[in-house]
Amino acid sequence: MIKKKKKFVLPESEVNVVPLMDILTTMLFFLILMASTANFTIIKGSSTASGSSTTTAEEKPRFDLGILYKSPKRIEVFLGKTKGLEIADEKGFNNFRKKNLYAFQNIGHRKVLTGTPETIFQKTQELIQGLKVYFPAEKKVTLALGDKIVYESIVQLMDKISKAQDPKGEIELFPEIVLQEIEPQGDKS
Amino acid sequence: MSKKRRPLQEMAINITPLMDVLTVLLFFLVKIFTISSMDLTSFEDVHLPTLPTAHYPPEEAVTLAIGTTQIKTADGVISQLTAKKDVTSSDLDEDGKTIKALLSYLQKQMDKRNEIFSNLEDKSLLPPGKLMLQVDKDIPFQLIKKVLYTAGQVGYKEFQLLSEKEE
Repeated sequence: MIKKKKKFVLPESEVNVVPLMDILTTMLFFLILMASTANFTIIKGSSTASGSSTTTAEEKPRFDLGILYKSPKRIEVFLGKTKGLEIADEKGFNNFRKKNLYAFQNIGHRKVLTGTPETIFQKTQELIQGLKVYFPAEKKVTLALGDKIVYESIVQLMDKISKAQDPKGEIELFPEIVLQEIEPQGDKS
Repeated sequence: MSKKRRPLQEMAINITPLMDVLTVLLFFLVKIFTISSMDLTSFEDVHLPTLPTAHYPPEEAVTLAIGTTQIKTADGVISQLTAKKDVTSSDLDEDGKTIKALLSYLQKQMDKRNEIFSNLEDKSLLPPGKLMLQVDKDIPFQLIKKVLYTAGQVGYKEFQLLSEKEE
């Protein structure tokens, strides 16, 4: 009698997925519980009230852009002396300056913007955007605020000052914002 | 002749699609879930303003909440506010600008940070302290400037003003 040898067949390897299922399910529940639906964003700022100074001991000319927001319907934009600064297209800037700004005392130029809070922020952004064209490397702006200005308005104005939307995308304006209070005497108005 | 009963077939649940869905969900949630040690607690009396565009995501910082009735920190209530949403004069230092309890709290936080970097001889090499402000949208700058001034006394010079992004 010839015995037929049974061909040795390797047993099918089985992967036990039960522990994997346990871990995945646990992680899933954990992540669902921990995931937040709130979408927070921050605007960065510094403050002269905190001791960070906007003035330097250097003698070289520096870009000095200030925004005074004392009452909800009035914003004043100040631009310090520009002599000695790097200006992209000086002729264009002179034309811009003549159309949009007024010489103020002996410290530079000023523009007063009035209107409702919505329109006034938009006007400020347009003016700032115009200035950015001639000072593309500058990023700092000082924002002086009145005591009665509320947080919502502060943040919305900071949003308008720091960047703008354009058909081509987002434009960075002046993202380094220094907050300060309006001094009781000698404020630029 | 007796009919042979067919043995009942073993039921097998096909878990392959379930595995696919769970794995995709897991990767999705890991992607949107930011693992951070920072706890962004929302406070009842703090209604944040909304902004149309995003700026930066919140970063690790000491958090302070200024609500309509209280100033709060991770340690609890620092100061009660008046009806005009300002601190009482008894909570202020002699200079009329520094909030005493807040100064003490922030000093403790700064000391903790300095302790971590105790090996560093020159502490001025450390980046300035960061403070995150969760402020109710109707709080006036009159109060905020006192908080900024107090924080500045301790060495917190960079601030993160928290808002919600409009959906």
